[in-house]
Amino acid sequence: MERMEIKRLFMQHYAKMLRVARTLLCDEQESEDVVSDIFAYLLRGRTVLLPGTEEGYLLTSVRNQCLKRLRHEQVKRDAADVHTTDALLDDADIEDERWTDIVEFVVGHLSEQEQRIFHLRFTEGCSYEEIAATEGISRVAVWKHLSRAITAIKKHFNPPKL
Amino acid sequence: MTHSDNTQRLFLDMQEHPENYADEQLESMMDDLDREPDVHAAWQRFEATHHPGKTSSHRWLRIAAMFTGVLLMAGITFAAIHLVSTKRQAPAAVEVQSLTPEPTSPVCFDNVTLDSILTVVAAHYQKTVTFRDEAPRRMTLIMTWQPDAALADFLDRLNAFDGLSLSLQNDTIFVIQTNEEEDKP
Repeated sequence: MERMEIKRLFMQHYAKMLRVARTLLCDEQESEDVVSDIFAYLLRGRTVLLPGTEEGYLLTSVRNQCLKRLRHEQVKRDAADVHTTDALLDDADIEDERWTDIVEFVVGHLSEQEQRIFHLRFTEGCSYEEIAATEGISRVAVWKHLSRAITAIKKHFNPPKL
Repeated sequence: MTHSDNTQRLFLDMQEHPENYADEQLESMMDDLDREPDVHAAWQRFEATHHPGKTSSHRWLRIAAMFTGVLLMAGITFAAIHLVSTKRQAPAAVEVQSLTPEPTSPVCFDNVTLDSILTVVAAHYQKTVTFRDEAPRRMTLIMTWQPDAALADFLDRLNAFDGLSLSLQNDTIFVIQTNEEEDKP
């Protein structure tokens, strides 16, 4: 992909991508690394993003990269069990499957409002302020809805997927 | 947002037990998570670490050096590889004017356009190349080529890349772009 095109995407989507990464990783440096890695990948030149798919592709990439990092951290924590190192297989499809599992759980187990808030935060990359305005509730209420959603996801999946 | 483990632990605890925190503390954490980054500064940092001039010139020189080494080993005349420019945006900068190598050692293509790769490979197998779509011409790839392996094996490996389909018909390698755009970093 051309450098000027990368710059345009960077300027347009960096803030939102970083926001999603921060929410999943809660680590500024790691979040910046994730976003930077995605643009570096695009710079290598093979991917062509069709108009209208850019934001979806970039945010999905952020989510997948964050899930991969979390998975690797989980494997490191479980390092005493040598068999878990198999889980480090670098397969991008694994993250897609994990996210699909999470979304299926969200749809099947959470209230409609929690589903909407979860979607706005992790799929649309909205800020807490934007979600609060959309839902007509306070930011603290948004945090608490997301908190319930994430806690339920963590409890449901073993090993945890978030 | 700070970078410490303590912040991460605080974030996780706030997520699991928001009832233990005052609204102001949650608000403060949300402010931190949603803080607007300095995008221009971030872009400058990105550019500094992914500057095309520095990296690609090394890469092109490395490729040129490898070709030269391969050709010298094979005792075959290497006509010319001209490094016209080192800018990454111009991958056609490697101009293969006359190349009839018969290398036997593996060749490493490091971020080389498919066009350039196939120019070298097709010459080795005495085939011609036809790009039915233009986009694949500019794809840059990282891969090794074993010159003593069968051409079909090399084409199979290229076909493993999303969006790319190569076939050999008579003495021509046809390259087309498929509709799959499923690149996932």
